[in-house]
Amino acid sequence: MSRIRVNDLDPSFKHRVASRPGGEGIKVCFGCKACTAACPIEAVHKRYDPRKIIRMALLGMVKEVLESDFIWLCSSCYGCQEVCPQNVRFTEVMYAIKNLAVSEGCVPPGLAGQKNLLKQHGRLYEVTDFENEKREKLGLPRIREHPEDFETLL
Amino acid sequence: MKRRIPESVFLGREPLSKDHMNKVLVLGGDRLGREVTKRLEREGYDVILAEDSAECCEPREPGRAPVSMLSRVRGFVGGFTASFATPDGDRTERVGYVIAAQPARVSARHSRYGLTRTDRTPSLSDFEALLKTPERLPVRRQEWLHVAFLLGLEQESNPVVFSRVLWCIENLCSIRNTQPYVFTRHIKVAGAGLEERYRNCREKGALFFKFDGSGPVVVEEQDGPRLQFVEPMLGMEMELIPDLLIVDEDLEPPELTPLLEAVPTAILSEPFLQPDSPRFPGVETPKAGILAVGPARGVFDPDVVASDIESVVAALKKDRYWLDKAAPEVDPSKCTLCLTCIRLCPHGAITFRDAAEIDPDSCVRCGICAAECPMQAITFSSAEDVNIIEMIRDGVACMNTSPTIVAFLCSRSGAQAHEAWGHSLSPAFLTIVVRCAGTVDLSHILAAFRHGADAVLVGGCFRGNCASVYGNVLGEQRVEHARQYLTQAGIDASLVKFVSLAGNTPLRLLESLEELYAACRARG
Repeated sequence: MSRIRVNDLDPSFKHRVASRPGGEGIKVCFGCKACTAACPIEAVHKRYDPRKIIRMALLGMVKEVLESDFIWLCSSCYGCQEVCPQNVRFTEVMYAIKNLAVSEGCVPPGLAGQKNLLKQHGRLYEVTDFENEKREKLGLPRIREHPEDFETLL
Repeated sequence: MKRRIPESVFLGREPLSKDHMNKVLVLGGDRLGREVTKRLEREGYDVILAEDSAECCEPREPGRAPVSMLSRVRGFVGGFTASFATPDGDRTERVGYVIAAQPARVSARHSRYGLTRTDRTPSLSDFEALLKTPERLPVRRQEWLHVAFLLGLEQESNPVVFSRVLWCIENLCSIRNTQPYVFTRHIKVAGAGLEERYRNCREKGALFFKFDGSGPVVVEEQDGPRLQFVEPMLGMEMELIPDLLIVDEDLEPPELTPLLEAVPTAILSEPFLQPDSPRFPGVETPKAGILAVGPARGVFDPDVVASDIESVVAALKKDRYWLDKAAPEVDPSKCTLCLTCIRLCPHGAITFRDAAEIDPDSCVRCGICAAECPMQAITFSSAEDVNIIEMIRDGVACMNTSPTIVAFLCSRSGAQAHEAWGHSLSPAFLTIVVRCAGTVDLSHILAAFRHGADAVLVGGCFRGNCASVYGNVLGEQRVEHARQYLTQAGIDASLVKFVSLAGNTPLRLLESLEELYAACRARG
C-alpha cells in the first residue's frame, strides 16, 4: 500500500461537513472509540467503523469517504450518539456526510434505484391489485399511486 | 559549567552581622526578576537586581552585578555577602536576602528528532516569537499552510508546554488556510483550563495524532523535512511534508551553582534549591534568607510563578514562630571545632570562628546539632534539653500505670496524629512533643528508662516529609543505636521503636503504642 500524502488531502473538508446541518459536532471528536464500541453495524461489518469514518473526514480524505459504500451502511440506530462523551452526534454527522456525498454526485446504485421507484410509484414499492384486493377484504380503501407529488417534492 | 568544590562548610569566618535586613539581592534575567524587584521595592525593600545586561531590556545600573558572574554567596539571613567575579575584579554586595528568580534554561529538542534548527524547523520559542508578527508567516494565498508540532514524543511533555502549543494553535487558527497538526504521545491537559482549550483547538480544525508505539519518522529531504507515520486510528501509512515543523523544548532550572553551595542540603535536591517535600511548598529553601522563585524551584507554569512573587513577600515578612525559643548555645570550652554540627545542620545555620557559632535567625530549633555534637558542647541551655529530661522525670513519676510508655512525638507529625485522638490515648502513654525527631538523642531515650519507663516510642515524619530535611532519618538511626545498647545490656530491644507518622495516620500511632504495650505486658 502506498503512503497517503497528507498534503494532498483537503483540510477544508471537515469544515464543509461541520457547516452542514447535523455535521456541526464532527471536529471535537477525540477518538475515544465509544461510538465504534456501541455500533451494531461495526459488530458485523468491520468496514463500517464510526471512529475511522470521523478520522478520515477530519484528515480530509474526501474521495475515500464520499465515494465509499460503507457510509451507506449506517442503520441510524443512534447508539453512537448516545455514548459519545464529546457530543459529536455521529448519526447526524452521517446524514450530513451522506447529503454531501449525494450533492457531489456520489450516489450508490441502491439509492439511485430507490429514487427511481419513488419517481415511478410515489413509494418504494409498486402497489398492485394484490395489495388492493387484500385491503378491500379488510374493508380498507384502495390506494392510488401519486408519483407526480414526489416529482414536485424531489 | 565546571562544578567547583562546595565551600559551604567554610561559610564561617563571616561576622554574624544583621545590618542588611532591608536589602535584597534578586538574581534575575527576564520579566520575572524585574517583577520581583518591582514588587519588593513597593514593600520598601532596597533591591539590587542582578541580571546580565544583554538580556535586560532596561538596564539598571549596567554591569553592577551581572548574574552569570555571581561566584559565591556566604553568610546568613540579614548579612549575606554575594561575590561577583567581574572582568574588573571581584565585587561584593552585602544583602539580607538572596532571591533566585532567573529564567528557565530552554533547550530545543531538535537533536532528539535528528533535526537541525532552521527557519523551516523552528523551536517552540522561535515560533512563539514568529506568531507575534504573523505577517512573517509564509502564508500563501491559495494553498494551505501545513504547520506540524512535535511534542513529547521522545520524552514526556508536560501541561505547561502543551499550553504553549495550544496558544500557538489558537493564534494560527485566526489566520486563513492554516492547518495545524500535533504529533504527540500523551495529551497533557492536567493544567488550568487546558481540557477546554484542547477542545476549542480541535473545533478550530487542529489535528492531533497520539502515538502509543513508534511515532513519526522524520526524514530530511531536499524539499524539507517529511514526517512518515502510521496513522494511529486508521492504521494507514501516511506522509506529511510540513511547511513549518515546530520542535518542542526541555525546560530546565537556571544555573544555580553558587546558591546550591550556600544551601547545604541542596546537594540532596539538585538541580533545585528546595527538597521535593510538602514541607517546602512555597519559595523558601532550607536556609533562611535564600528563596527560590519559579524555574529556580522547578515551577514553569506562569500562573504559579505569578503567585510565587507574593510568596516572596510573605516569606520576607514571615513571623518565624520558633524565634521565641532561644537557639541552642555552644560551650566554647567544649567545642573542638570538629565541624560535625556544621556538616549536619540542614539549614546552614552554623558557622565557626574560635568555636561553632549558631545564627539564631537561621536556626529553626530542630535540635539536630545538639543531638549530634560528639562533645555535648551544644545545648538548649535555657529550655528544651533540660525540659525534656524534666518532663520525662515528672511525667513518669505522676503516672501510676504499669506499664508506662514514653512517646517522643515530632511537633509536625506524631504530635498531630496524637491530636487527632483528641489527646485521649491511654494514660499509660506519656507524650513528649519535640520540634523534630532529630532532637531525640540517646540520652533522652535512656533517661526515659532511667526514670521508670518500660518502653519508648519515637514518632517522626515519613521519609521525605521532614521540615529539617533528614531529622527523621537521624532520629531513626538513634533509635537503632539505643536498641543496640539495650541488647548489650540484656534488655529486649523491641521496647524501643521508631515509627513514621503524619497528622493523618493516628491509627498508625495507636497500633505502634499498642504493640509496645503488648510487648511490655508479655515481659511482665
